[in-house]
Amino acid sequence: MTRIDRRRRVLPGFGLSLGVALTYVAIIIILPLIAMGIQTTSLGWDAFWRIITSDRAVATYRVTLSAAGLATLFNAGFGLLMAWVLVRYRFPGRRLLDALVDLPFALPTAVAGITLVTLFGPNGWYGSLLEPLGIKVAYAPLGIAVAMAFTSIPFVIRTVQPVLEDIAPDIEEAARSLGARPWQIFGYVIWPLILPAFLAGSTLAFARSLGEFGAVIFIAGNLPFQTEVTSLLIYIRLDEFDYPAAAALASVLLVAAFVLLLVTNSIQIWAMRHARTD
Amino acid sequence: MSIRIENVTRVFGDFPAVRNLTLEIEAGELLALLGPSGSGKTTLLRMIAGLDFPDSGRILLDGEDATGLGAGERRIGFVFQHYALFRHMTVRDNVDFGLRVMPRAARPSRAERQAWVMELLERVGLAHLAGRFPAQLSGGQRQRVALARALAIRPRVLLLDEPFGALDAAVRKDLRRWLRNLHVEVPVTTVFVTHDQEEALDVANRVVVMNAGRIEQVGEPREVDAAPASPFMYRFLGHANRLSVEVVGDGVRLGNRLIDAARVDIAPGVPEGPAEAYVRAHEVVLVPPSDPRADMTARLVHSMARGGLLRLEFVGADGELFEAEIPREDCEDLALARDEIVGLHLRRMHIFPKGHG
Ligand SMILES: Nc1ncnc2c1ncn2[C@@H]1O[C@H](COP(=O)(O)OP(=O)(O)O)[C@@H](O)[C@H]1O
Ligand SMILES: [Mg+2]
Repeated sequence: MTRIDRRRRVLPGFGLSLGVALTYVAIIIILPLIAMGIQTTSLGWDAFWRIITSDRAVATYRVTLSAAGLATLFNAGFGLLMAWVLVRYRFPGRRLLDALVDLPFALPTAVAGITLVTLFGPNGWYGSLLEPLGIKVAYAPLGIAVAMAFTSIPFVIRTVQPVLEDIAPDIEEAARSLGARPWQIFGYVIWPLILPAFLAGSTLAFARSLGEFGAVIFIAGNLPFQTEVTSLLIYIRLDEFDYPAAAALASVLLVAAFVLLLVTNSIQIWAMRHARTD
Repeated sequence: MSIRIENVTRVFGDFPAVRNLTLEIEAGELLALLGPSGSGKTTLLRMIAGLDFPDSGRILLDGEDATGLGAGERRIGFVFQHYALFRHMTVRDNVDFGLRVMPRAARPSRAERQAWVMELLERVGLAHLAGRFPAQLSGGQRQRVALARALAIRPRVLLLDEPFGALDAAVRKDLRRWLRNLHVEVPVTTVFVTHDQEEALDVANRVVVMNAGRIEQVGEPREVDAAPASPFMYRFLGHANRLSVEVVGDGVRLGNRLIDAARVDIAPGVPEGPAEAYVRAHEVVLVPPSDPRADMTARLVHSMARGGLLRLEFVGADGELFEAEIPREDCEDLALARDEIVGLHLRRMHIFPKGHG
């Protein structure tokens, strides 16, 4: 282990705290992953491949990806707007709105799902308005996107907000005095500064949407090949005591999550290239 | 370009930061706005730049009313106290920014822009760092990038808000000299804000001293330093002693000593009777306590050598602090020791009405 500079040891018991932290990581992250790996490998490659490329599984990927894509697109736009409004404007109720942003994180996803289905159901407040227009949300692919959008709203807002707050007014004033017009100030100065946070937030929102289960199953209708998401199929396989199949499908989601994590981190590194001090 | 500020007032809430201020700045001047913190220097500068607007009064640029003109339309270079560089852009792109955002018709070609940017970086001595990001530069280098960026648009006026405020003493001094030279090479009308009198006196052709949103005194550095016009000026310039005196005819009475008109200058409108006298530290001469020239006696409490000067601190008879600044060789024969009682001869006294300013 590398030697720790004594002066930096603010808290005593560095060894102990590191040990506890690593043990925790091992118990709640690494061991389950290993267990899943073992379950999956017990299948053998052919069976594994058959399961994850079965028509029904592929249909769930399509449903999940397109719904998550739609939800993320919506949240990217709406989240950016919301962050802008929360940082740049002072209006009565701003603090309440700011607090409400976290609600989707705090609310049990099942509650979110039930609420959404009540609202968007044929007799719900929104549903009764939308269905006559031919827009079906509950028990339709759109409903999945709505549920995903709801549970992942905070990501973009909460990543962009602090960066936007950090942009000192004199940066914009400098641009203004150099003759930049408002759209140039946004395009050349503000946008590049918030872009990394915006991309990272959007990626996280997308990752979260891919795995969303609780909120989705209430509103999705859950018809195989039409409104069945991957996490639901995993649950169904578990229910049938087909653990290896469940693990195989789960590994697909896991790989997707890791790839997205890698993307977010690369964005961060790329974004911080101008902060290097060497 | 000349600037005329006419009866300008700017009020924040119910606090007037700039009060009915009028000032004429001539083309090509290098003007320092000097004043204590909170005196309205930044507010005035921002109004000249078009980053803030007066509540009343007018601002004329080259004789034309520019009061309502936005910052982007004034072509005024502004250097911010904390540089305000675009941290996601390289040094080169920072300097190029003002050219890049020009309307297509007015914008120089890419090659021209590049050449001009490099010329500016050359001038501020940073050509070799053109590819760096601001985070990789020192404070002084960042300040010079900010300056090059402001100069890139060939501004008609250059405004600098405490440009050296955040830098350490040696770098400050360097940049000061450098700004003076730059103004000789590029004689653009320049206004710079500072709360450091030495900086103002050193760099500027003319100094405007502000106090509580108003102009306290305007003049050439030498003039301002030699003839402060108000009690505020004495206090602000520092190293001045305040004494209670009584005006008697054209002289004053200090304690039970009468000091005649030859050593006293009385501001216009000071009535007979109690008044305030200011004596600058270098206007104090040390004499033996029993010497007939001694206007008062005091006890030495502290001394500090600085270059060829000795700064001495005394406590007077009523416990008031008194400062003197004398050439070192003058006191070698005086063999000063702490707690020694000495006589002080005041070469010059400046009299103002009591309790004013
Ligand atoms: N935007 C603002 N809102 C409210 N008060 C302000 C604002 N800008 C400046 N002031 C006040 O105006 C006074 C003068 O400020 P400023 O011009 O920054 O002074 P200086 O630059 O001389 O230190 C200060 O008391 C400051 O608090
Ligand atoms: Mg200021």
